[in-house]
Amino acid sequence: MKMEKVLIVEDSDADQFYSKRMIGMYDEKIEVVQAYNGKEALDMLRVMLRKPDVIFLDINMPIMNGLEFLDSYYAAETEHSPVIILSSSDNFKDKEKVFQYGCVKKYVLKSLDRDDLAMIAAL
Amino acid sequence: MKKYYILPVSIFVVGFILTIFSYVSYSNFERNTLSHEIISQNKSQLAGIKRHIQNNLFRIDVLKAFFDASTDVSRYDFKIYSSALLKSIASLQAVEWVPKIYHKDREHFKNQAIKDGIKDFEFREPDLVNGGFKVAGVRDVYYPVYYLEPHEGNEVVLGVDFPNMDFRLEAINKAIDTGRIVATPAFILTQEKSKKKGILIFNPVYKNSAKPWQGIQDRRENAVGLVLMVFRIEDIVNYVLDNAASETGVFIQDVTQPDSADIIFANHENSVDINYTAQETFDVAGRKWKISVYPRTNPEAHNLLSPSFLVLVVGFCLTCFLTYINYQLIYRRLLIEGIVKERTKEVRELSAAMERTVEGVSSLNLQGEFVYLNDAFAQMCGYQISDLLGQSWLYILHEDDREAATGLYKNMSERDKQVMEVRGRKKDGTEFNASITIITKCNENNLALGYYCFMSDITTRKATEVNLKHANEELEEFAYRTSHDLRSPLVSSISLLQLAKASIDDGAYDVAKECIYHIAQSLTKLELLVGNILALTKIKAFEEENVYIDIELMVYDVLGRLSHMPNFDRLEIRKDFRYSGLIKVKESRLNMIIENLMSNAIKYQDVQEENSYIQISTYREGENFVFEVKDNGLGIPEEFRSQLFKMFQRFHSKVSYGSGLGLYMMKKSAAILSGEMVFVGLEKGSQFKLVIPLKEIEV
Repeated sequence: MKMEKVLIVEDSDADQFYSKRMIGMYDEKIEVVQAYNGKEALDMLRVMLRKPDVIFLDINMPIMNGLEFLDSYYAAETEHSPVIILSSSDNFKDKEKVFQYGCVKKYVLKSLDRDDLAMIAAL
Repeated sequence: MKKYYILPVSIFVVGFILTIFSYVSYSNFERNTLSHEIISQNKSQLAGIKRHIQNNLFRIDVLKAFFDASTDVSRYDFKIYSSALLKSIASLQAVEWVPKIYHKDREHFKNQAIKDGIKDFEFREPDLVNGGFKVAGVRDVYYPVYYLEPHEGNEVVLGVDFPNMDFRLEAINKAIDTGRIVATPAFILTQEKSKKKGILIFNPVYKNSAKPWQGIQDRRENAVGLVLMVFRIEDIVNYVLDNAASETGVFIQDVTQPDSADIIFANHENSVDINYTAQETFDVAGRKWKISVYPRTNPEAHNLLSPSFLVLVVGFCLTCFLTYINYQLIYRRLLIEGIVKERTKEVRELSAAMERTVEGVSSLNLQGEFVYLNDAFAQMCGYQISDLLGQSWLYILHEDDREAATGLYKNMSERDKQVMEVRGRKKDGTEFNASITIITKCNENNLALGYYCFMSDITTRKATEVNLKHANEELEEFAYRTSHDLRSPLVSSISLLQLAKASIDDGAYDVAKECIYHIAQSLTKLELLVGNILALTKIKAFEEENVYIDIELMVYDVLGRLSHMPNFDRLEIRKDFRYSGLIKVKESRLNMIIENLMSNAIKYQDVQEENSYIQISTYREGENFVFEVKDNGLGIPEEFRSQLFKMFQRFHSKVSYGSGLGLYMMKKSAAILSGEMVFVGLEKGSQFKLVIPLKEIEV
């Protein structure tokens, strides 16, 4: 999986910082775009000329959570970037729900590390 | 004796009396009929005897006329005529010609008799000394038996005169003197061997019988003899009675001498029963005979098959039968009354229980119309019983549930039971939840007569179930979110610590510092979350007493505590305590609400706004106390307002560093204060109200 541009959708500053740092450490050429909730991500995707190669999506967020984002994303767009769920929740219901969307490729528990990124790149 | 048994006893007594009365009446009727019948029969027999005797007397007149008509009746002539007479009269023993013979003519008559063929004829008379007969002594006049029929067997008396037989001579003399037929008293005939009595009847014959008589002497001088008929009385009676002789008693007395009545005939030894006896006294050739005819056996002797006896038996049986039937009916009635009384008591107790029960009980016909319902049923629907009788039970159901309810009970089998939960519609239009149980009502042949419908109001239970479900969902959400939100800052912190360490090792201190900053943010967030969770737990578990507080002082106190918050100083705090003084509340709950409302207002102020303010008001609105916090801050986006008081809701990304539990906790606390939280959306900012009924807080 190509990872030249990624979008991190995460409400926590700490997690945004950490994920961005880890991606940079993995490959500093990867362009990282950040959104702090689902609504913000949708707005950004709508105006992006080059869509992200991967979207790292948190589930629990204010304004619009991950599941609501996936609903709206499917409703708004015809082509979808692969989505990697990045959550601290190991709840099976969450997993069940997100994998209903075809663009969701992987469910990764926080925090993101080099192995996760390598595995994602290998998809 | 119990009053119930008066009737059968009365029936028995009345029946017994009626039976006896009927028996006596019928017996009397029967006896009268019998008496009348027997007396008629006896009278008829008696008339027969009388008629027979009179006929015989008439015959002797005819015999006399035979002698009157001829001056010289020969023995042969007499034989011819007498034989015919004897044949025609069964009771006639003998017919004789007794001539009056003077002594001077004795020899002439003797010779004539010998000449007639009587060889040893002689004038004779009874030998009173030696018995038998002897040659008659000399006297002036003889009255011997001269002609005699039947001759055979009676030869012994031929030529015999009876000068010593006074009653014979007396009868002869009387007959001659009067010219009438004269009978002797009854006596045992000379030639009679059976000791049966007979009579002699004399009829005098005169010379010149047509001449008028000049007194007794004239008659005596002209008398030529007497015609004599001998009758045995028994033969007269038997001839008349014929076949009835064995059943009929005849008693004949000669009462010519009333003071010395002579019994001349009796064919039965029993005494005469005067009730059934036909009796008559009449003249028999100058003698008075009293004849009584009566039944030999007692006609009143009871016959078991006699109608009166049958009336007695049948009447008694009928009385006993009616008494028994009546007794049985009363016995059974009492038995049934007892059972009915017992059952009625049970039914009344059951009905009373049904009337008092909190369960709605009703009975429906096959069309589903109410034929019975108790108070509880009617009250659940908000109706009177009379409003619903005759109405379809679907009438009390919610319109949307009627079709399902109809389908449910229509095809029920006899033993089936259907239970369902439906929504009801009360008379005032409000809805209620009900649990309905329907059972088919059958007769003894299992034919459906209708339905029993039992109803319980489960509105409260349903509400509890909804609340419980909601609470469960909340709890699940709470568990999920707390696990996530507790883990999330910890995971971040651990990862950031590792990154910081690596950065320090690499000499990248700026990165390490930034890591530490984010770790601090995460842990602060974690601390806030843990604090709120503890507070929430406290809200749910803590039982707190009402105390008197001054709302103004509390507001000032809270403001003092929040004054260190970022950007507090740029806010204008407006206060409007229209409702002031003491109120009685749970202090910590109210304090939590005020603190959260005011901290939110500070936290979510619009820093771009030049005149940011928070307006704190207390006032009375109707019957409620209102605590209001209004600001011109960031406000709540309209699309999120419906989620406002739910758990873990954050509406401001980046600036939001709350746990998402604040408003939820306020809502819970308001409920504990018997009030509620109200949000009023504004074009700019927010307006939150805590509304509590005055009766809950006023002193």
